Amino acid sequence: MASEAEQTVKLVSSDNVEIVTERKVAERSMLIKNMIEDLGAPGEEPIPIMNVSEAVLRKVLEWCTHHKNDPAPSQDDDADSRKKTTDIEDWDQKFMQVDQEMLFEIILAANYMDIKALLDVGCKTVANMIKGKSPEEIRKTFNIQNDFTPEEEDQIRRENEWAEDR
Amino acid sequence: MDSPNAAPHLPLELLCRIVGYTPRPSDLKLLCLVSRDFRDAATPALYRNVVLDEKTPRWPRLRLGRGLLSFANAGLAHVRELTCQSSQQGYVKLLKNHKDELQSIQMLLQFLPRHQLAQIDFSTIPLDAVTIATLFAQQNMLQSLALGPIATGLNQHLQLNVFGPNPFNRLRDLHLPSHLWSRSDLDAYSVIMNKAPQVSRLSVHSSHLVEVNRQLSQSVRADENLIFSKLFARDKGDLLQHRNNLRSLHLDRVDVSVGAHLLPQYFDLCKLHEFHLSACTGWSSLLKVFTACFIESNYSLRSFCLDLGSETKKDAVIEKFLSSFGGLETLRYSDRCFGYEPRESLLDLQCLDGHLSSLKQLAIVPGGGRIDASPEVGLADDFFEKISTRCTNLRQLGVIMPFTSTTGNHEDNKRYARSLLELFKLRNLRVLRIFNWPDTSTLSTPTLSDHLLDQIADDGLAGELISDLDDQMEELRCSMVLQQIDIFVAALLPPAFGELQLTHDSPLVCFDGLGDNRVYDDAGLVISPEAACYVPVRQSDIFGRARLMARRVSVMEAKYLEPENEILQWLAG
Repeated sequence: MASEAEQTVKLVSSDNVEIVTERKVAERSMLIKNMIEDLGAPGEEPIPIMNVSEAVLRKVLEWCTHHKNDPAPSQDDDADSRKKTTDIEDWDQKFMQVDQEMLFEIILAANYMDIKALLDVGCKTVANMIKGKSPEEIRKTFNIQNDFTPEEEDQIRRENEWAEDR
Repeated sequence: MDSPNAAPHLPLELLCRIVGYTPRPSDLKLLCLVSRDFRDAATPALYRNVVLDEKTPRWPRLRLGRGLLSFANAGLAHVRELTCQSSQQGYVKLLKNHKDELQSIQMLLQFLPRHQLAQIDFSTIPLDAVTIATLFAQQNMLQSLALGPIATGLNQHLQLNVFGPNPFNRLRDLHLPSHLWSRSDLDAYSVIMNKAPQVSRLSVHSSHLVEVNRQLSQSVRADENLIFSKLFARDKGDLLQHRNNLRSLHLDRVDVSVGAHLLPQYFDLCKLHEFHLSACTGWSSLLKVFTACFIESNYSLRSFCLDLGSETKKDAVIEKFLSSFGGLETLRYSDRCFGYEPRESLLDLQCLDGHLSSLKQLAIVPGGGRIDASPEVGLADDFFEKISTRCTNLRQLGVIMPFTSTTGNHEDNKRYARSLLELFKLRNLRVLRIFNWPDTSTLSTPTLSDHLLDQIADDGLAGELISDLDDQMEELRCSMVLQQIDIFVAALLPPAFGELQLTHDSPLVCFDGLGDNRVYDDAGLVISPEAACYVPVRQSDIFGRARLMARRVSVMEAKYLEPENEILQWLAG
């Protein structure tokens, strides 16, 4: 049997494409890691990634490959030390330069596959696109429909007026 | 209808995560207007911490059914922290001057769902009986409480639990206001302390305790231990019980000269994690008490701040105290603690030996002396180098720049730039705040010449125009100062990361005390809105090599970029 470092796993995307990748790379995803532990025999049985299409899965695996040697996320990461700063590593910044649809698909996939670091990078990228923009610009950027009536919009504006200039 | 190329729909949970990275209320406010989904995600974050102050439109004249107090405002259910600030400068003794604020607070309190607030800061507003009663009857989940003077005799009501279940049961953090108006005001806080067994953090500011009320002043003099005995003694018959939960104590302008030795009766000094001592009379006797305790048993102090107020003294007591233990993570130290005798009193780091490697925050701050009194501000030449080699865990650093001119002596500027470069070697440094730089007294700035003024007067121009011009000149002067700092930073940052070949992130750099060195007034450590902050921006040059540039941002922006830092958040007093 191959050592853990050389082991590969077979992933199947939602559009039924098989992708073979290093076990270490795939295990950046907690979903896959848990599945492998449950299945017991890695590499033999293909692992279905039901909600993620081939194109997105390949992109996610590209990120996992680059980050395969990162230290494992610690348990208390989520609690008090959760950094709100929006600095993103150079490589990640370039990686996230994709069209919006792909960006959102990556975020959804990272959420589904439980890859916290990738999810954070995705959310930070979107947050950076939002900052300092007007509601209209945000809608335009993300192709969002304005589902408020003018009266509702006016009401919200008045309710939140207190938060001016902060 | 969604257009065919619409971005996929993100579930609320993910929108909330994104919103978590846009903490600025002004951004959240705009997000609420994007769409219903975004409103649902951003509203809780926007309303979590509500601050009403002079920047708030229509504060302090809130109206029922309008704006914030709209009947349908779903955001109010998410308020956990509420800060209301007085629109008056300082306390105005007459309650009627705070009528609008008190009325608005009462309406707000009645409007908020009951028992949901965890933190309240009304510290700049004196409170009347109705407001206090509304507050304590409506909110019993309070964890942090900072009220102004309680301008009403409420002790018996507080004592008798007329407000229902003990509203102070969960209280962990209690701030006393900087003015106590009467003995009964102190008594009210004494009752609150007694009903709050869990208080772990106590701040006592009593700068005006003595001045405001003659009667109180006499009773305080008669029993100088009054504040300690009122606040710390636990009402359990004759037996004095230790306040076992106390972990953090901030004393500001409290006279501790007589009561110091009694403090260990009330709580175990060795259990304190945080001890801040600011402008207290008799500080040295208190430090001696601490030193004795620390030598005898295990200390847990992690954070220590010392400000001697108007005293200027290099004192063996301070050095002895700092050498009596180790492992501090936060140290804030006024430059007055070195004395101002040139050269002889340069800060040597010897008494800090036991702390250097554990320090995460270090600040040498200006203590409010006269500018010409401290030409070298007591930092030894190799200070920066020592810090950069020994304080390897440092995350936040505040230092004073010596008084050099930005235009005058280029050699000096280069020397300080080189010293500063040393600090960039600190891998974990996130924020570097430079107090008191630059000194612009020698910067030639434009002023209106008498000739021009005469001419304007001859032309019959109105006085307002002249003052307008004056304002413009001031603006011009500020922008010139900023330009000087821009040049300094541009010359400083890129080499730091080019020549030193550093791989870690550069800290956010903040220059304060612009214009007329206003850090050196009573406002102390309050960051001035004009301070210049620089965030490192990485860019690639045409060959694809990473280069470090600096982008100037406002203080407000910097605070949100580095929300964890305290060095930019410090407030006066």
